[in-house]
Amino acid sequence: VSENDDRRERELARLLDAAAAESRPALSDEDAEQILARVQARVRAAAAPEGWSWTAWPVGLGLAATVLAAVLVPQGIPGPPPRPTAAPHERVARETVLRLEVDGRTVFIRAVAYE
Amino acid sequence: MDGVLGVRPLSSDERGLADRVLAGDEEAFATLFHRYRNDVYRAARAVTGSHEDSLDVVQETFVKVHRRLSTWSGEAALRTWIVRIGVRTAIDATRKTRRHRVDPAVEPSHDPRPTLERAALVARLRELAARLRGTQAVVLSLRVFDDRPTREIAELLDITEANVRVQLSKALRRLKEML
Repeated sequence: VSENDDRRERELARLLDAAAAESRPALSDEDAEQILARVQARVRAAAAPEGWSWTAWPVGLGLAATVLAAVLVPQGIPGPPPRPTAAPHERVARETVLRLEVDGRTVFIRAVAYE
Repeated sequence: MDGVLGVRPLSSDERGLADRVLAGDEEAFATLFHRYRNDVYRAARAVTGSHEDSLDVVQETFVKVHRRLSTWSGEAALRTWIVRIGVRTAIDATRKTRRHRVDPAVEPSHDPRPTLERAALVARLRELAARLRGTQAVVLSLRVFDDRPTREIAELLDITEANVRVQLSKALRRLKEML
C-alpha cells in the first residue's frame, strides 16, 4: 500500500511540476480586438431604445401611416365638400368656402356662383 | 478587503477610468478591456481548460462589467472585481457545458519533445481536475493552472484563506486517489 501511495505521490508531483513549468497563456491581440468589437456591439445594442433601430424606422413609419389611414378614412378627412359640377357653358364667377364649428364639429360650406 | 490583484483597493486612476466608461466613453472602455483582458482570460482558461470557451467567457465578462460597472463600490480593486466576474462566468460556463475541453498551450521550442511531454502531462492533470466538483475544482484550477496565490483565490471566490487551503488539500488528495 505504501509503495502504491509513493508512486501516486510521485506521479502527482510530476503532473503539478509540468503545470507549474507551463507558460501562462495570453490572449492574442487579434482575438482581443474581435472580442472587444463584439462586446462594444452588444453594449451599443443594449443602449439603443428598445424595439427601435435605424432599420426599424421605415417599418414604424409605415405602421403609423396605416393606423392613421384606418382611423381617418372611415370618418372622412375634414375639408370642404367638392365643388358642384358646373354645366359646360357655365363659368365660376365667385366661390367662397366657409368653415364653421357646430357643436364641436367642423362643418365646411362651399358656395359657388356660376355665370 | 484588500485588493491583492490591484495595487490599491481604490486608485484614483481606476475610479477615473470607471467614471469615463460610465459616461459612455468607448475609448475608456477599450482601455479598461485591454488592461484587464489577460487577467480574465488566464482565470477563465484555468477554470474551463479551453481556449475557445475562455474567449466566450472573456466576452461575457466584459459585457457584464459594462452593465454592472455602476455597482462597483471601490471596496475591492477594479481588477479584483472584474476577474471575480470572470471566474464566476467561467464556473457558469463549465456548469452549462458539463465538460472541460482540454487544449494545453504548446509553447515554441527548439526541441519540441520536452514541451510535448509536458503538454501531455498537463492535459492529463486537467482531465483529472475536471472530475473534481465545486469549489475544490475551481481552487485547484486557479492555484495550479493560473499560479494564483491563496490570498488572491480567497478574494476572488469570496471565501477565507483557510478555506482555500482546506479545499486545495482535499482536491490534491482526490487527485492522488485517481492516479
